[in-house]
Parts: sequence; C-alpha cells; structure tokens
Amino acid sequence: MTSSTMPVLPGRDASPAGTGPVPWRGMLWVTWRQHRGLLIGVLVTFSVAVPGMLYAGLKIHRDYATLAACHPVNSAACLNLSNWFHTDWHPAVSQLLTWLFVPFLTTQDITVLSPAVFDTRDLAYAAWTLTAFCLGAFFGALIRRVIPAMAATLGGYLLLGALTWLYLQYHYPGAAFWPRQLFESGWLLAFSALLVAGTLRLIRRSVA
Amino acid sequence: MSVLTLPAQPVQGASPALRPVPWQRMVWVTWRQHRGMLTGVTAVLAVVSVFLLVAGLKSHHDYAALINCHPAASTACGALQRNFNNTDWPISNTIAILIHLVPVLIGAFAGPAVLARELETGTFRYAWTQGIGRVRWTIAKLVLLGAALAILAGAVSQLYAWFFDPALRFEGMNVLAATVFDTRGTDFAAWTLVAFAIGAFLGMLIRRVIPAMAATLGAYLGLQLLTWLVLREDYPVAINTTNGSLFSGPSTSDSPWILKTWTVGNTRWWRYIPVSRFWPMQFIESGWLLVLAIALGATTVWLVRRRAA
Repeated sequence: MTSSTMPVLPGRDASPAGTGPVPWRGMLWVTWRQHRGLLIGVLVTFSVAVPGMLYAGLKIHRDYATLAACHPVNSAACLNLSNWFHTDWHPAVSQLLTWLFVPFLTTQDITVLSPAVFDTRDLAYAAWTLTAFCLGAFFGALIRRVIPAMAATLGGYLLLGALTWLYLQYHYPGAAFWPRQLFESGWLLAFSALLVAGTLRLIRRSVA
Repeated sequence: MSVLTLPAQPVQGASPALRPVPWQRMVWVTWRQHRGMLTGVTAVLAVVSVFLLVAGLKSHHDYAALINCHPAASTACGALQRNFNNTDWPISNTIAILIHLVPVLIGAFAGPAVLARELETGTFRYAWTQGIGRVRWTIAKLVLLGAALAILAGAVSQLYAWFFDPALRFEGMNVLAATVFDTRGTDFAAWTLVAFAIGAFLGMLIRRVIPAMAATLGAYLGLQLLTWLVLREDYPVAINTTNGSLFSGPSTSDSPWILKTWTVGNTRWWRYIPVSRFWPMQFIESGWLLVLAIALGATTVWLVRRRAA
C-alpha cells in the first residue's frame, strides 16, 4: 500500500516556534489515497442503482398518473388500466414488491411514518448510514481485526435497528413527519459522536 | 495462528514406503484455521434457532386458536385475528426478509477467507508446501467447510419453514413464491453452498479478502435476480394453459403459482406451476446449484494449482 510520508509530529509541549503541525488539508489527499477503492466502489454501486431507480420510477409515475386521471373510476377502460398497472411488471418483480409491502397493505397504513418508509427518507437514511460507519470504525478500533469487526458491525446495526423499529420509535415525542425525522437523526448523530469519541479514546490509549 | 507441520512429501515416483499424508488430518487443520468463523456461524445460527423456536411456538399456538375459533365472524375471533396480524405476522415477515441474507452473509464471510487470507498474509507459501500438497489441501478445505455450512444452513431452514408455516397459511402465501421457495426444502442449503463456493472462487481470483467479500455480495445478488426473473420460468415443471378458471377464487397456500400471463389474439395464456410440483422444482434448483458449486470449486482448485507458489 502507498502512503504519504510526513515528518514526525513533535510532542504537544515542544517549541511552538518553527515547525507547526502538518495542516489538516494534507489529510484530504491521504484519506482519498488510502480509501479510493472503497469510495470508487460505493460510487459505482450507486451510479448503477440510480439509473435503475430512475427508469423504474419514471415508468411507475407515468403509469400511475394515467390511472389517477382516468374517469369514471369504475369504467371498463379504467379497470383495465388498473389491472395493467398491477400486472405489467414482470411477475417476479411485482411479487417481490407486493410481498415487501404486505405488512403495510394488510393494515392499510402505508404512510411516511411506517418504519420501513420513514427510515428511507430525508435525514434519517443519511443518519443511519453515518451511524453504521461510526459503528464500524468503533468496532474496528476495539477488535483490531477487519473481518470480525465487520461481523460485529452487522450484528450491532441489526440490533440497533430492531430496537428502534420495535421499541424506540413508539416513544418519540411528536407525531408529525419532520419533528420525528429531526428527533431520530438527532439521537443518531449524538450516538455517532459518542462512537467517534470512543474510537479516538481507544486509539489514544493503545500502545502504538 | 498455529498450523500443523507435516514432513515434506518426496517427489512423486520416489520410494513407495512414504505414502501421502492421509486426508483425515485435514479435518483438524481445517477446524484449527477456521474455528473462529465456524464457532461464530454456529453461535449466530443457534441464537436464531432459539428465537425461531420461541416465536414459532407462539405463532403456532395463536394460529391454532384462530382456526379453531367458531363462528369466524364473532368478536372473539376478530380479536384473535387482530392479535395474529399485529404480533405474529410482523415478526414472521421481518424474519422472512432477514433470512434471505443468511446464505450470502455466510458465503461472504466464510468463502474468501479460505484462500485470499493465505494469499494476503503470505502464509500460502507455508500452507501449500505441506506434505499433503496444495491441491488436496484446497479440496479438503472447500469440501469440509462447504459441507459443514450447508448442513448448518439446511438445518436452520427446516426450523424456519416450520416457524413460517402459520404466517404462510394466514396470508394465503404460496410455497412456490420466490421469497418462500428458496427458504425451504433443500434449496436454502444449496444457495448457502453456492454462496460459499462463489466466495472461495472470487477470493482466489481477486486474492484480497475484503474486495472478494464485496464481489461475492454482488455476484450472489446477480445470480438470485437471474434465477428469480429468468431461470425459474423455464424449469420443466411449468405448464401453459388458457383455462383461467384455475386461478379464480381466493389465493390460498394451495393455489397454483402463476409465472406469467400473455395474450395471443383474443386468447389469454397463463404459465403456472401446480403446488404439487414443489419437490421436483426443489430438486431441479438444488441440482443445478450443486453443479454450479462443484464447477466453481473445481475452477478454484485449478487456479490454486496453476499459481506459482
């Protein structure tokens, strides 16, 4: 692996004159250089997923707009359209989507507050991603081996997710979408900060 | 890491008194090198099994109370129905989603480590020069680990199938549905084996553990989508018909499974699989997955063989 070489940082109490610490900006290049494989990989995965979602999304929106604009609703033409909207997709795809949404369909309450929908929107999704990353870094510093730390991250994330879905989300203050988004993102951000602090502490304490 | 040291094997054709190291010794070596992963997978699956057992007992109990309730329209029966819908069903459905991650996670964590870890750390120079020889070393590890993981996954899938049964009947879901079919019978074990074989193969190809893990995730997802969207339609168990009355009435666990519909002129066609063909379909899918796993294993061994140590 290639890494940049830098002059050894003098101790904290060393003379402030002369050499200052290496500027933070230097780390930008180092971070990119060390993690470019990961960053490129994530970007590539997203850039495959985004056109796929765009393609499917445009089709669904167009089909749904036609269906919604159809009057009278009970006419044969509209029913035909509705049927087409439900079956035009490849059966396996529509079965998969239907299956995924069965719990919401059975209770008839697909809203933006349903856990499976709520966590994929706006701030919450980004906050969960940040927490997952901080959890990974923390377990990495704690376990010091990549693969066991990856396994621990998966387990920890699942546990946190299950706890939030099944318990915490029922105890949030506020009932509207945005206050709940802010609350969930807020505590996830605070938890991430705690994890970062824990990681830094582990690094300082470990004998280099 | 401790490794078994064995006397170096003499060149072939040398004195017949020195026989190759017996295969059985590899059982211990495999266990010793992969005990962390094997214990980890067993521990996680044991926790999952206990959960499935507890939740499954409750679910079976609730479902039995529900179907034995008469008259079905009474308030008491309605309460039982709501109870199942609000407690047992969400758990069953969440587990049904998560169970699909098991084969690919086992494959990604166990597969690449078999060879890529030795290559990454340089220990392959030691491992591959042991008396048993690198080809037999690799075959033994792939077969032992693959078999152990497939058996573990197969056992959990039997328990899961029992656990999911009330939810299946409650929702009128079908055992041939894409998301149910590959979690039961022999299919779950076969998918786990393939995931492991993909992981080992990509580990040998890429020679780095973490990129190989990511590639395993991608390749497995691709194979699953290919199977769901393309291959299953063409298994020789499906039937074409114009008789739409087969599919009328409420959908139950015994309804025929419709693969696709299309129209020729004024005639509507259906391609479907009757539920009675569940086992033939299981054997077809597990069969080709097994062949694929063996082919991937053979290619992995070939890569090991031709690589200069």
